[in-house]
Amino acid sequence: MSEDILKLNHLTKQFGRRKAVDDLTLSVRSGEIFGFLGPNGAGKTTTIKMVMGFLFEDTGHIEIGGYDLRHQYGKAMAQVGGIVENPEMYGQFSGRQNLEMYARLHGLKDRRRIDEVVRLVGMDKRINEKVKRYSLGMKQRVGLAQALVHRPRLLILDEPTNGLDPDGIHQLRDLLKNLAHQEGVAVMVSSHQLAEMQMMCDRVGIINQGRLLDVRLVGQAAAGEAGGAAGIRPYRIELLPPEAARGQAVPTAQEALAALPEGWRNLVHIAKGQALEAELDPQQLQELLGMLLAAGIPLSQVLYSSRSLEDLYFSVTGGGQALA
Amino acid sequence: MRKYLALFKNEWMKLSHRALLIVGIVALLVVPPLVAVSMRSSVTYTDNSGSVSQTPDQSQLQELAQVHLDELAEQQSWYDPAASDVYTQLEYKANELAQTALQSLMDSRLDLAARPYIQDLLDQQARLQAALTLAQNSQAQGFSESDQLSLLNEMGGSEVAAEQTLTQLGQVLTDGSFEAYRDYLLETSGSVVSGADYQAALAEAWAMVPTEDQQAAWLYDSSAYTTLRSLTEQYAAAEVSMARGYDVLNGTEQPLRAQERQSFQDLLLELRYELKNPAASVTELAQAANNSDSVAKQLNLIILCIGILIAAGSFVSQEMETGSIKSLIISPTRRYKIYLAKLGALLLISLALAVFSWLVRLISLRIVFGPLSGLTQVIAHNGSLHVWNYWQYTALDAGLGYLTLAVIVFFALAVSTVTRRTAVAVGLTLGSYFGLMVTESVLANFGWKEAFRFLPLMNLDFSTRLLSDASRLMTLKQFGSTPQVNISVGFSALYVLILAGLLLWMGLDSFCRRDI
Repeated sequence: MSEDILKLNHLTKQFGRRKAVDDLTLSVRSGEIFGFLGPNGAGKTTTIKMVMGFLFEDTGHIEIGGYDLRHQYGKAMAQVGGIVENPEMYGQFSGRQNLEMYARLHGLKDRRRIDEVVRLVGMDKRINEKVKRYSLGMKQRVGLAQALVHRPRLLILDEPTNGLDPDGIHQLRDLLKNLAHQEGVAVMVSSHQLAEMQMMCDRVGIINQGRLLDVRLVGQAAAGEAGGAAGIRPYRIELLPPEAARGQAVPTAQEALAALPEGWRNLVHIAKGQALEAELDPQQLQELLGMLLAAGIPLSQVLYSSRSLEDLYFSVTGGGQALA
Repeated sequence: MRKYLALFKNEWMKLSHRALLIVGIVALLVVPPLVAVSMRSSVTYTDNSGSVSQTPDQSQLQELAQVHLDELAEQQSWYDPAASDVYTQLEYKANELAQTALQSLMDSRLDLAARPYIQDLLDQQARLQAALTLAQNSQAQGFSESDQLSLLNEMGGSEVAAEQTLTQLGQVLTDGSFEAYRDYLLETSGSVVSGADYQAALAEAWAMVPTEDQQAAWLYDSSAYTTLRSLTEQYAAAEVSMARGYDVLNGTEQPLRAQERQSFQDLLLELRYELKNPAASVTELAQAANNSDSVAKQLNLIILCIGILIAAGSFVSQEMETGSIKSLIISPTRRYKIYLAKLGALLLISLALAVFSWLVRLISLRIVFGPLSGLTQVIAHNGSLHVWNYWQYTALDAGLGYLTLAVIVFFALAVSTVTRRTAVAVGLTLGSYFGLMVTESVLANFGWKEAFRFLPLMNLDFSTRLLSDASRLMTLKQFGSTPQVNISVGFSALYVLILAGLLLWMGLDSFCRRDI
C-alpha cells in the first residue's frame, strides 16, 4: 500500500491582492509520478516553492514524509530533493564540487554515492569541469544528480526536460519511472509538455488560478485501473466513410445511433469524423458491434480510444482561449 | 554542530574561490614593502647603532652636509632677491649667509658641517647676521617703523642682544661639541618657558641623555637631534607643570586635576626612559620605519575594509541573484544557521586577512629597515612602565583594526540580505564607508553634544579611536578613559555591541522571514 509522502492541506499563498494558490489540497504517494499541470501563472511553481521552503504559506500546512514542514523543518527537508525553475549551482566550482557541497549539507560523506548519481545522469565524463562551462542540459543533469544524491523520498522537478536533448528526455523518463516504480520514490513533476507528461506520469493534477481543478490517472495507470476495476474501456467505432462506399449510400453516425435500442443510446454518443464513442466492457462491445452489423451499418474500424491529456487539460482549464 | 561545520566549510569555500580574494591578498602583499622601500630611500643618515665608532666616513659626511646645503639653496629660490619687503629680504639674506657659512665649514671642518645641530646653529647665526645687516641699512632700504620692529624682534630686542648671541653662537661653533651645544640650549631656554625651574628641569632632562662619547646617533642624525630636543623640552615642561600645578605643556592656566597629574607623571616616566635610551628610537631610520608602518597600516586597512565590504555586501545578494541560494534552502538546514555560517566565514576570513596584513607589515619592515628594536613602544600607566616590542604593539593594533572589519562584516552582510541586489548593496556599503571617513574628519573637533548627534557615524569606526589610545588598552586597567573626546571606550564598545546586535537581527530577520 503506497503512503502519502507529500500532503498539502488547504494551502493558500497570496501576493498582494492576487491569490497565487487558493485552498489547495493534494497528496503525492510513494511510487508514483505525479504531474502538476497548469497554464502560466496558475500557481504550480508557487506551490512547489512552498514545498521546498522558498516561500512561506499564508494558511494551510505542508507535510513531507510525515513531518510538518514548519515545525520539523530539518526532518521534513531531509526527505526532499528537487530542482525549481532552473538548476542553479555555483559556477566557479566543478559539478563534483557542487555535489560535494550539497552532500555535505545532508551529512553525506560517501563519495561513492556521488559517483553513482553522476553515472546515473550520464555526467561522469564532464563532472570535473566548472559548472559555468556547462550547457543548460548538462546543468539539468547535474541538478538532477544533486536532487538525488541524498536518496530523497520525494523528488520535485520543475520543468525537468528544459534544455535536455531527446536522448536526455528519454533517459530522464526511464530514470524517473525507475525511481518511482522500483525504488518507491514519490516524484512530482511540473511541466508544460503535455505529451511528455502523458508518457511519464501516473497521475496528474491540473491547477489554474491557484485552484486545483482535477486530479486524474493517466496513461497506463488509467488504463490499468479502469481495466482492473470493471473492465470498462473507452472505444471509438468508426463507420465506413462515404468516399469508401464506392457510390453506395451509407448511413450517417446519427442514423447508426438511431438504429440502436433505447437503452444503448444513452451509452453511445456521436463523435467527430463519422464515428461513435462509448465506454464499454468487452461483453457490451461485442453486443454493440453485433447490433450495428445487424442493422446493416458498415464499419471501417474499432479503436481503443483514450482521451489525450491535452483534451483533458483544455477541457479542465478552458484552454484554447487567448492568453489574457 | 556538525551541520554548522558543514555549512561553514561550504561558505569558506565560496569565499576562498573568489577572484576578489586574490586581488586583496596581492594588494596587502605589495603595499607594505612598496611603502617601506619608498620611505627608506628618503633616509639620509642610515646608521642606527648609536655608537661613536660608527662615525661616518668622509663621503658620508660630505653627503650629509651637502643635503642641508641643497635644502638651503632650494629654500632661497623661493624668495625674490629684488623684493622690497623686509620679510623676503631677511629670508633671502639669511639663507645666503647660511649657505656661505656652511660651505666654509665644509671646507675646513667637514665633520662638524655634517652635524644637524651645527647646521642649526649656523642657520641661527646667519639669521641674526642678516637681521643686523638689514637693521643697519634700514634707512637706505626705506623700511617702515613696523619693519624695523620686526628686525629688532629677530635680533632679540636690540643690536646689543644680537651681538651677544652671535658671540655665544661663535663660541659654541668653535667648540663644536654636542655638550657645548647642550649648554647653549640650557642658557637660552628662557625663550621657551621662562623661569629658573624650567631651566633646572631642562638641565635634568639633558643630564639623562648619554654623552657624545657614549652615543653618537644624534650627532649626524637630523631626526634624532630634533626629537631629542623635543623630548627634553617636553620633560622640562611636564616637570614644571607638576610643580606649578597647571599645564605648561599646552599653555593652559587651569589647575591640574588628579587624572591630569597622573597623566603627567606617566608622561615623565615615559620620557625618562626615552631620554636614557634614545639611540635607536629617535633616529631618522626608526622614524621612517614608524612612518612607513603607519602609512602601510592605514592603506592596508582601507584595502581590507573595501575588500570585505564588497565580499560581504555581495555574499547573500549574489546568491539570490544567481539563484544558487536555492540549493542552500532546500537542504535540511534552518535559514538562521545558513546566515550565521555566512557571517562566521566572513569573520574568519577577515581575521585571516588581518593577520596576514600584520605579518606582511612586520616582515617588510624587518627586511627594509633591519631590526625593529628602535620601534619599541614605551607606555607608562598609573605609575608603572611597560616596554612593548613592536610586534606586540602592532599585534594589538591589528586586533583593534579587526574590530572595524567585524563591524563592517555585520553591516555589509545585513545590507546585502535586505537589499538582495549586489549593485545596491555594494554601492550602499562603499558609499557609507567613504561617507564615514569624510564625516569623521569633519566632526573630529565637535563637542559632545554634536558628537552625540552623530554617534552612529563616530562609533562605527570606534576602533580607530582605540588604536590612538592603545596604550591604555595594553594595561587593560583603565578602560573608562576617553579615546574620543567625551565618549568613553566602554561606552563605545557597548554601543558597537548593540549596533552589531541590531545589524545581526536585521540581517537574520530579513533572511529567515522573507520569501525567496
